[in-house]
Amino acid sequence: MSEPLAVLRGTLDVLVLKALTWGPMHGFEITAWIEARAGGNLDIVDSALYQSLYRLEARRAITADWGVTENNRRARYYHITSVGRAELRNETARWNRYAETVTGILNTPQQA
Amino acid sequence: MLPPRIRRALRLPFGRHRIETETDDEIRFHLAARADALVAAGLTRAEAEAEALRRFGALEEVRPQLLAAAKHREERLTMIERLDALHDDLRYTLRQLRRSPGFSVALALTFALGIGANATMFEILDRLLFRPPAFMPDADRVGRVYLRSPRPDGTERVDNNISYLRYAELRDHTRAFSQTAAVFQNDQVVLGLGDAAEAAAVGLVSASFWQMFDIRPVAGRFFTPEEDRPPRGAGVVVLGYGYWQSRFGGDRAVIGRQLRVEAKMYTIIGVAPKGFHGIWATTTAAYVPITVGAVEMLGNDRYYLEHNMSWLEMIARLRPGATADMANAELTRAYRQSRLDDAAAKPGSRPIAKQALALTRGELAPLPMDRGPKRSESAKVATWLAGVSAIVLLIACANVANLLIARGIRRRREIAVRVALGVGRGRLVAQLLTESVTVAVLGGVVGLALAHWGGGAIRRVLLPDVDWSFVPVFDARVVLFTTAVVLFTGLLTGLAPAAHALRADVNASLKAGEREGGGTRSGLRSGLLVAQAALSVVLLVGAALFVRSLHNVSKVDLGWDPNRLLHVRVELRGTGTTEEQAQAIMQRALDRVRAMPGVSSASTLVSVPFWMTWSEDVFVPGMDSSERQRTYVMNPVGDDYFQTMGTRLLRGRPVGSSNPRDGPKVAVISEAMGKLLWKGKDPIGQCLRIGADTAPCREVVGIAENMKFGDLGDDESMQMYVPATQSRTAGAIIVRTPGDPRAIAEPLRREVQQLLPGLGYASVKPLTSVLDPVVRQWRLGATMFSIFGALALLLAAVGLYGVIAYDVAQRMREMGVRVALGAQAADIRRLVLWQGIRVAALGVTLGVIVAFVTVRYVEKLLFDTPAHDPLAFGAAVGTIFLVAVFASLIPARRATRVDPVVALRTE
Repeated sequence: MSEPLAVLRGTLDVLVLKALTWGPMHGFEITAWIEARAGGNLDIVDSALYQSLYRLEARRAITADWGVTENNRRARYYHITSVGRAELRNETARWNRYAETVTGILNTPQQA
Repeated sequence: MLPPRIRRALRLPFGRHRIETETDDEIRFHLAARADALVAAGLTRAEAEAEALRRFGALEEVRPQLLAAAKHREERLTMIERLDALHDDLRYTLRQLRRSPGFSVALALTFALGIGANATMFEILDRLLFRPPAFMPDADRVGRVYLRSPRPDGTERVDNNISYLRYAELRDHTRAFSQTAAVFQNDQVVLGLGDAAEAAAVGLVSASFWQMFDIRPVAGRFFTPEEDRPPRGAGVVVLGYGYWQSRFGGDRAVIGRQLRVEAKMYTIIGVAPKGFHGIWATTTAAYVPITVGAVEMLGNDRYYLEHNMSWLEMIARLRPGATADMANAELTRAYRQSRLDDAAAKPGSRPIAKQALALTRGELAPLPMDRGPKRSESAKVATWLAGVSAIVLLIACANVANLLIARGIRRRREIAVRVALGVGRGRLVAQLLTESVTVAVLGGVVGLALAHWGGGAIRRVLLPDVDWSFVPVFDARVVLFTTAVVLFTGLLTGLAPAAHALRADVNASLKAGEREGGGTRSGLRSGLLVAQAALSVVLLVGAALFVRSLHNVSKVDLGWDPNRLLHVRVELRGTGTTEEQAQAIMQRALDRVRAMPGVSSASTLVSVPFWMTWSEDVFVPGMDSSERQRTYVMNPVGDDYFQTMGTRLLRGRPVGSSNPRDGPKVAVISEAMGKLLWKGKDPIGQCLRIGADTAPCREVVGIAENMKFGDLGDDESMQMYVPATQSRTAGAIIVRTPGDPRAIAEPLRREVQQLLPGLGYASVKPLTSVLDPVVRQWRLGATMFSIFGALALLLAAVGLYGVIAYDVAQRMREMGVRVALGAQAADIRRLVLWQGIRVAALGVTLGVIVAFVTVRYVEKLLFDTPAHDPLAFGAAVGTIFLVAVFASLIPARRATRVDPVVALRTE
């Protein structure tokens, strides 16, 4: 297995939003969800996730409130808002275009 | 799910502490959850916890970052919430306003009147007192120089007019100033030749004047210090922008051309920029070096050697670091030295007494005249009026507040529901304030428009000398002021309804039915009504006092009749005519004028009341020193003078041009002068020496009625009339017309102009125009106090009507019960009327007390009217009661028409 990739700044926001489309989650659930999808390919420092969450909350892409986990622990649950959904849509489209373009360029057969 | 706003409202108060705790909780939870997961995957508890910490990042480094992020998040969210709330409030307010458009318009108009009055007065006071001259940087460092000295009678003489020599001495012997300039403006200077000739304002300024401003000429250049040197400056002229546009069509080729200014031709060297007015409020058509103006226009070629004429004004800019106190001390020292030098240079003159010297002082005062020691009476009245306009605004506020409270009562249930649903009281108050501020903004916009278009007429009456033509529609300073007023009034007005709403008892309001909505009367509302009535009384008393003053002024017997009089000035300087030729020209002009249709009589004269005074010393045996120091007005007159002026000859015979030049010397004197000088003896036949005690004896041949000459309160003006033929001064022509004098002013001017040689110039002016400034302060006070008083009265009446009508509507059920129980229409009517009258009576009592105390401050501004004039007070009180009765009458009539059956059945 190759080295895990450092996550680009801003990309984490989109990943968090994507995670929350599956329903309200607390911070660790979000991390776990992303890690499961990444299959060990992404190296996320946990605190960076919270930076991302607070950023998203400040621009009202998500909201948060305190709830209780199955183990009766107090946890802060995050919800995606309509603002967040719109952002996710735009960012996903942008990401795809960007990735396609870059991939296209990188994969062009080199001229001899 | 609850909306986020409510959820947030339920949380602990926003604070640094809470954010820290929450963030720490969250971190702790995350670490625990991660450790649990790792344990489940097979690690030991200790390993798992270490790994969780590692994955989280260095805690001591990361935790502050997260806390900062969390804090930023909270601040952002709070701000967004507030904006959201404001947005909601605005939408709610606009919906409310749209729902009852009549009510909203009434509110906005009430505010518009109050705010408009204040914007108008601000604009005027700003011009008078605060606004710096255009293009003058750091204008608060620039001042006008005043000189104070004791008069022989012990009073203080304050002078802003000084001689050129004095200016030069003060300039050279002070160090507190970085710039000084000598300035003088004359608005009767003849510019241009032939048909283009007109009398215009010309500034005589030192070359240093231009340096006080941050300006560049539009064309050409300004004059230099070399062109402004005694004994005689260069014959050059700088045009004002307006004159350049109107006379030369803005042609740049004027530079180098010749322009006639008064009696000489000058070379045009430059054009001042648009909007430049020097230090004056009026348009200046042209500027010439003061050193050439002194010689050519003042006719004074020793101006820089002697203090023979006090005419110009000195303005000065404080050097950086210098204070006004330093400037005053230096000015005082320089002025005293100048006086001592002057006394020493005059052989035989008495030395200045120590005491007198101690009272001789110089002073740098603010540039606007009306902020200096010689402020005008009109400025005082204007300052008072600004206060009055503030009162009108307060009344408007009280009115709007009252109407809002009335509506608040109707909305009590709705408000109670909102409170019950958990809307905080703070939010409720914010909502009410939003409402009043919104209405104030609407009122402010209309008020500004009112101030600009409606206030134009007022401005011209108040400050006719100011050129308003260049005032922008919405002046930045006025808009700024109005914005401040709008916010202030909006918040002030919102306070009362807010306080009222907060006091409301949620439970009672929810349980009560609509019919009980207005059952209790609010003390706050009655208080506002009483305050309105009281303030209206104060304004009405002020209005009545000024109206009385104006009436008394118009009744004053001037001893001459200013209506339908024209003054024709003939300027012959620069034409090279001799005195004899000038006399002959005047005689021919007089003959022509007398022959014109529309002229009933005409004469020549020199001294003109309230305008031009030629005074002479008078010598009579046995005169004491106080009699010697009075002003004796010398007036060489032609035939028909008394008849033309409308002054009665009480005894003896008139003098005029029929008295031969070499015949016996004769004079007519005013009654007061005869009484003063001959004390009971008959003045006729007595000998009067004019000018010197060696002058030939002049026999008094007639006594004329006293004339108010320089002051309306002046009962003892000393007048002496001598035959024009026995004087060497040709003077001017005075013309009485049977109809409107302005109709023949222009034909008259043309007729006279034809007789004049070359540079000769005739100008015609109705004499009412010299009297206008004299009565201006009373006309101003009477007009403006009346306007504001009427506004206040209107507002108070509307307020009273609104509240009583509203109360009656709320008490329909009660009225119905009364009627059902046998009350007559008259009883009901009395009940309602009584309510209005009670409020008025309280207000009147309060208002009369306030007025009684404050009127003494305006007493000096009144004319022949005691400040506690019972008629004025009576009229004000009567008016208020009358208005109160009328305002209550309509609701009272409505109350009598209650059908008990209908009233009892509703609800």
